[in-house]
Amino acid sequence: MDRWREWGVYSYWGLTLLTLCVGVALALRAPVHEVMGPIQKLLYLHLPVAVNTFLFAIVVFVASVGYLGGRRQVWDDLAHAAATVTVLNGTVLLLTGVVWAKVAWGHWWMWSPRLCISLILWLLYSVYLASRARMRSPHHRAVFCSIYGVVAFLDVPLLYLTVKLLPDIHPTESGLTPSMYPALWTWFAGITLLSVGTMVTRFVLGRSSLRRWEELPARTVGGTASGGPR
Amino acid sequence: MSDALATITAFSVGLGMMFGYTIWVAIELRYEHARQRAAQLASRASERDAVATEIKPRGTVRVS
Repeated sequence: MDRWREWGVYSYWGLTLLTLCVGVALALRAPVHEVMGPIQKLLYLHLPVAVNTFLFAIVVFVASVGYLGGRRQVWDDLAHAAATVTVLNGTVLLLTGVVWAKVAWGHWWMWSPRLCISLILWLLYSVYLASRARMRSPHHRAVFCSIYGVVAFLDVPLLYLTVKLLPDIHPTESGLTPSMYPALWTWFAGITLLSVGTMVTRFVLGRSSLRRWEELPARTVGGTASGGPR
Repeated sequence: MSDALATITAFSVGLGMMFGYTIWVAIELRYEHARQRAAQLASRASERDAVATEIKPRGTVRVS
């Protein structure tokens, strides 16, 4: 069983690496955008990480609702793993965004609605992770973070509405020609595989640490027996 | 900074961060599994020692 699992893990990461290598090759072969030039190739990374940021924010929301509904620790661990990947994707999104902005607009940052709400999204989930690290009681941490995870998710539809309703310097159209789509879809697949793999690894690590915590003998702290979280 | 250099830098740093974090988590997971395995082995060894100390000689065998 262990051997099959190990084989599956190696195959998964092999497929992820292969997809990203094919993505790099396709991005190099794709035609250069007539107006924007080579910087437009950043779209192959910028757009997939943006979509993955939202996808994993949805996972945090669903897992937080799951925890509040059933109070099972597994949901909280899933929310934690998904929030980590949300912040990771959000960081790459902002990083690629500022480089692109510098080349295209001449400024590293513009205080436009979409950019600001993207920054707020990243800050919200960063605070989520920081709060988790600060809280010691597993039960209180899980309850607080679940409520926070539900409230923080409100930023995602807000960002969507900003794109649809408010005028912005950030373009809405990708400006891609049909010959650029294979590279974009390959990058979508590669980044999604990488993000899902990272989330699952982080989730398994969280569960393993929890198991070790549960196996600790119950100690008496302040007159009450303290065991691991259930 | 030329456009091409900016693009390559952003790609490298972005992917480097994503893979870097993943590798870090994977190493931490390996370490966690190794620690659990070591704890399991230590627990088994202490159980064996406890059983060995409980075995006492029941008497001497007299050979006539």
